[in-house]
Amino acid sequence: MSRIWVIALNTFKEAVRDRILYAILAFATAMIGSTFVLATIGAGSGEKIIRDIGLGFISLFGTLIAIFIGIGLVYKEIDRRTIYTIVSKPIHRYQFVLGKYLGLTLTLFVNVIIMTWALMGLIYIGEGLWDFRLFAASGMILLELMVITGIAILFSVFSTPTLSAIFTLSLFAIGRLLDDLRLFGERYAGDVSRAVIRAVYYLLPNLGRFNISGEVVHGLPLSEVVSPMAVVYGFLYVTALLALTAVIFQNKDFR
Amino acid sequence: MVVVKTEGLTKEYRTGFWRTRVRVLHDLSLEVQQGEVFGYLGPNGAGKTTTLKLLLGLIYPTAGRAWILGKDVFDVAVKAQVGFLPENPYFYDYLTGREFLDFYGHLFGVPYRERRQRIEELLRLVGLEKAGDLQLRKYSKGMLQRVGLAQALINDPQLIILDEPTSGLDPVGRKQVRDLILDLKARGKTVFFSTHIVPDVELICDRVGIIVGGRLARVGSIDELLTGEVESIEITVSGLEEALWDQVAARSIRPPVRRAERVVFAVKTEKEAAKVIELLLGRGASIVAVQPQRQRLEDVFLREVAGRE
Amino acid sequence: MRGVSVLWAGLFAVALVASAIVGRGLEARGGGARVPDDPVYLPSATFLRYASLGYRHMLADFMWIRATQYFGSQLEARTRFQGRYQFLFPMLDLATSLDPQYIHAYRFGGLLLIVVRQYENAISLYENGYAANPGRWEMPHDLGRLYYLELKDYAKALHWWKITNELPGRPEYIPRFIPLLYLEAGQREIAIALWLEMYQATDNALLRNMIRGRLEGLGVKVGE
Repeated sequence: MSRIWVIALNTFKEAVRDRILYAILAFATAMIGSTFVLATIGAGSGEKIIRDIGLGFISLFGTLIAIFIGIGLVYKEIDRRTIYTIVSKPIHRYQFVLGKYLGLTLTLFVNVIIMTWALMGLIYIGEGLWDFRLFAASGMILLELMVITGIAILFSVFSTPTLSAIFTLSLFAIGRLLDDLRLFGERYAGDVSRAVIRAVYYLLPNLGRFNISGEVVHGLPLSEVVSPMAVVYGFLYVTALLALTAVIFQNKDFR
Repeated sequence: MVVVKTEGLTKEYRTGFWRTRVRVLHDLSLEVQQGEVFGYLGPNGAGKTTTLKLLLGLIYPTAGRAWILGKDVFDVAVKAQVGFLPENPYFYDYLTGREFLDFYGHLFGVPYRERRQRIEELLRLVGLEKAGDLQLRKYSKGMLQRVGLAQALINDPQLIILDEPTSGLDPVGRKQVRDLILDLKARGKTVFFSTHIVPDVELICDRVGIIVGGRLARVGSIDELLTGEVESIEITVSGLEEALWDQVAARSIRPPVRRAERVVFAVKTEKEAAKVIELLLGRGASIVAVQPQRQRLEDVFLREVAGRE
Repeated sequence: MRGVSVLWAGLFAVALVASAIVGRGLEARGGGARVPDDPVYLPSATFLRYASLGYRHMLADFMWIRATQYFGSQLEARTRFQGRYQFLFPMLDLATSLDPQYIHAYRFGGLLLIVVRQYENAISLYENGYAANPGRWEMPHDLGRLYYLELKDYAKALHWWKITNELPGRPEYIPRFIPLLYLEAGQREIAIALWLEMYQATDNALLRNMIRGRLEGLGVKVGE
């Protein structure tokens, strides 16, 4: 187990020392700060606007980080052959995959926490209160990011960064629109196609289930908005992704 | 005790659009004994790196099996006893030297205190104690090679596998690596390294395996490999008339070389030598030296390579 | 080498400054002759819902801000020529389609529409808001107010305020207005009955005086 942790910590270190991360973080914080300005011209909607945009940016930038670092997680090691000295050590291949995944998840966790606190700070300055409900929204955002990371690392094991980026972004878009797509598909499809659509619907990640930011901002009670089933779904899906990744990685020849 | 053993190890790749099968390793069977330095010699593309990767579990064999210290190479636990330095290694360039070694030590499960001690020892051993806190991205190629060696030794392994450890190093660097290998042997370790540089093998190896075109051509100690036959006879003369130059060049198996007022050339057999010497003496030249060149490892090597082509 | 670099740097500076000067000239010449913020193309709500990939609340906010900016700029533009506010309702409709629970947008947007006398549009907006949020008092309340104050349609006002009355969190003054609306809508008997009920139910002297005044104005006597 500690081997997984060694890899995870190392991945975290690498992400933290990657200058791209700071660029994105600085940009995101600046954007969130700019919501302050938008709130003043919001004609009374200021509170909603700050929260919507703040959470929106946390989600957006988190997704960018998850995808663009995720697709390189394993690929870079294989391409640069840094993987040779690792796989030749007494470590199971799945431990390597898990470690990489946990490292990026840790990075995302830290990012989301920092940005959420920044947003809460802004709200405190503007409204004089600490809106802790935002953590519920952030938590679900993090869960969604974990699924996206899982997808990215799966592709990173066998595909080049360009292709992986395209596939992961596509799955992200599809995942967000899955419910709408299913409705659309079922309305216009014949019986056979409908069965296919339903099957595909269950295989693909339904990311809309993690999107509770709108409801949280509207002030709905958390007990209604946060669904424990959705959390379980998220973890199960991540497990499936990682298992598939482990299988592919296990059988790979490092040329 | 047999430290490394392979039996019928074969590797095929599918390449190209039609996924044609290419066999890069044929039926390889060899053994490496405990405490010996084994040189795995072969031209580029012969299959040396493929063999090493099969031993380390980086790739999977198409057929055949391999064992390290009696255990199947797929057993992850056996790697705790192995140290590996790949060719032209790339490492995590955002780590410092110490962090890098600490990472690998940790991966091996070396406990914290022991790790710290070994890191300092190894840095001293490879001459990098001053660069320990520098990020690897600032290391020169030679320094990377050295820290790579340190990484291969962090777990105090019984078997050390090195892929082209001296490639790209200057003569001083190469000597340092050779000395290190001999030092490891003195400590009772087994070293298995691949290379295409014949002198390195000649100087330190107990046994040699020559691999060409994916097949093990010859294997044995250097003495066993060398037949002792005379490859050529090198003749040094002085006072050679210009007129005789072409004749000498024709008989010589390689272009004659001028050294001050002397000329050096070589002929294939003793008979040839006798004839040429007679000719030259007859024309008033003096013979300075006649040296039979016995077969060297390089000759064996080149002959095997030529044989496969 | 260095001399050439200086030349290029100099060219850069000169070109940049020159372009800025030309830019100012363009602006001064009325580069904004068209009414600013006049959106020629507004995507449909469905399209944006898909395209926003789940970020629709954020987009709704942006659209809301745009709508208010549009209103403001049209206000300004009136000084030069007639601003027609024709995109106000589409923008508000878009914002509230993307985020149907955006109560504030319905209410404030509705007010803006009333200010520019687009009553039908205001009614549409409020009705959409009610359909999407049937449990909120704000929507029927605003509809009732619109009918009462601007359109003088007391029957409809009464209809909507009766609905408002049943909803949680509705303001205190609603029940007091109900009898008045009945009266204005021509249902005298019900008005009187309700007022009598209220008179009996309350201890508040001020309220009782007011009710007695009304009842007596209608020819009904009440006891102390």
